[in-house]
Amino acid sequence: MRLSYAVVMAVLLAGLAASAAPAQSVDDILSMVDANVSYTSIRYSGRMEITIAGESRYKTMDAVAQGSSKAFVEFTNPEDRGVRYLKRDKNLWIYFPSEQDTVKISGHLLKEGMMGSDVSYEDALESSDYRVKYSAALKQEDTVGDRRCFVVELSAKVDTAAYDRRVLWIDAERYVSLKQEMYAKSGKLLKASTTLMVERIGDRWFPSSVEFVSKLRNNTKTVFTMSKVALDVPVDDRQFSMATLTK
Amino acid sequence: MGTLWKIAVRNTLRHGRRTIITAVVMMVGISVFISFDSMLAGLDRMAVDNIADYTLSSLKIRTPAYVQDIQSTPLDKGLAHPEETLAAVAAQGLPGAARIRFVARVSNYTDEIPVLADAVDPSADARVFKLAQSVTAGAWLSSAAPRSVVLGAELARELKLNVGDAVLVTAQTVHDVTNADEYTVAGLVSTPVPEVNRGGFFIPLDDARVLLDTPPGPGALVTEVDVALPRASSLSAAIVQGDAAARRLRAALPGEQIDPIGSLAASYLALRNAKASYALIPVIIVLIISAVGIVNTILMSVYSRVREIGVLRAYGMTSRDIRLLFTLEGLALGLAGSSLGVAVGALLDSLLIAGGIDLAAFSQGSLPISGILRGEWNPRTMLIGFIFGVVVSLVAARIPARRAARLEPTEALRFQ
Repeated sequence: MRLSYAVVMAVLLAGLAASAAPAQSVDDILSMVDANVSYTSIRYSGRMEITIAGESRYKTMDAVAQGSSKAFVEFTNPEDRGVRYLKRDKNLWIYFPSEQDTVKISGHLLKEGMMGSDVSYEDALESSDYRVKYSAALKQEDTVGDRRCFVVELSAKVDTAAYDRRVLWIDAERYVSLKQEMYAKSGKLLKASTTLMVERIGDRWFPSSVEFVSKLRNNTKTVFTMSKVALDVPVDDRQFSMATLTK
Repeated sequence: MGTLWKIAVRNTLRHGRRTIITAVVMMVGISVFISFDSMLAGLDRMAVDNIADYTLSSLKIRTPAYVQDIQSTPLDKGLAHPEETLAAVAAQGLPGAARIRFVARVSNYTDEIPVLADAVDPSADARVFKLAQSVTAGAWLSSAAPRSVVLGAELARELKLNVGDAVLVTAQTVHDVTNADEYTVAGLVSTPVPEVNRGGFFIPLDDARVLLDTPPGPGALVTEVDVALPRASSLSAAIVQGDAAARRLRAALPGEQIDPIGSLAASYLALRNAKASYALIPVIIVLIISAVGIVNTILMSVYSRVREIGVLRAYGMTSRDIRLLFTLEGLALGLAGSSLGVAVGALLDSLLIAGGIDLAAFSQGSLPISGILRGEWNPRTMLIGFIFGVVVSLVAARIPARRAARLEPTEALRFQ
């Protein structure tokens, strides 16, 4: 569950890849975002805080991912220690050490919120490349906190896009998304995310803590924070095997 | 024989109190047996009727691919030509209604409950199902404003929603993408089927197609066509009728999967068949209790007349005459008591069939057995009850009579 948040994070970040060029066309802006957050592989320790009606639960994990199609997460918080998630393409398996049992998540379960949150398993399987599924338009400039931002609106070009419309507030200097709103086909706002922390990793800016708020449930939010982030590190493909999941 | 019959009938009438007591015992036993069997048959009929009237209909038409993948309620395996399917149903003189079944999450923004939603054609649906008649607050969809929904009463209570409130509905579109929108609660249904009350969610087809992001118009998405059949006289007749209608529709719609109530309610019917032998246990207990009552009263009656037997022997009657006399008395008693039992049983049956018993107070499980329980006529049970009463009376009278007939007249006259 929490791992799926990690995967969501990876997917979101991967979708925002950009180049560092100074041009201000919307395509260039998205390219620069991509350049900041795209990676061939990532390794990190994560912490997910789910708050529902003022009560918070914490999940911690170690995660490794390759692109947006492969991810492996092992939970380290006491309640879930040893629970592992393996994501390969559109499939997700969960291993429960106490039962020594593996469950494959598919069908309607993939649409359910994870761990009482409003992030579904399917969110975790979303394609990372926004520019394939969305057409982008630069709407205006705005500020988030004291940061100047470009407001970019993404409209679904294909029926299979996870959201019909997304609005991104992209930091005009660091080219990371500081805020995002995700809308349904009906026009209803489904979710919003806010970047809480942006870190310098090598030569790129990287959003390391993001708060997700469901707009379909009152008084809920999830904060996902990554630490010890290592990008583009070599990862053994065996990491994403069923044998590793159940070892 | 004729004389013995006259004596037997006269004796039966002479011992009026004993006769009445024995006949009443038989009447109670046999009528309870008939009523109990009627209730058990009524329970089965009621469960299957509820399935047909509130959840699955009497006959369902879907694609074979949809049925094969039914656990995932696939939206991409609907009927290819729903209008033609409905026309084929109408050609049989049967009412049919198009539906889309999909998974949705219903929310009041605080609590969210997953449901199996039914998108319905409000007018046509009301001719197939009894949901429109089960609206306990507000109105059914056919008389509601656009963008309205009807909820099961318990689901609404769980979400603290009332008629006129806004409800948030989230579902995956046909492209497997999340969509959500708000609707107005037009009505609440309270049915004899607990699962409908707890999870029923009904939305007009047009609104559902917008939510599911599927185009309207000819050939628009329909996952099933539900068909109503006239009410049959009994459960077995309903199953036979459903099978016959399915055969006719299969000939008209060769590519579709057509499931009559016998298939739709297969799991319930299998459960019912499995429990049939267990269900006989209380019936047998009722019969045993009545047999004991009948035997007891007849034994008491015969033993109290042993001295009378001695007198009859002293007057020259043979042992065979005595046995025959008491057998005939038992037969007379049996015929009278059994007739009375069957008559009272039939009367109770007719009351059960006409008025029924409201099971609302007992409806706590998930089996569809709440609502009004009505009995079912079962002439076979009445015949069994009648023959049982007569046979038990004969046996009960014959055994002590044989013993008494063996006594010498002097012994019989001294019998205490």
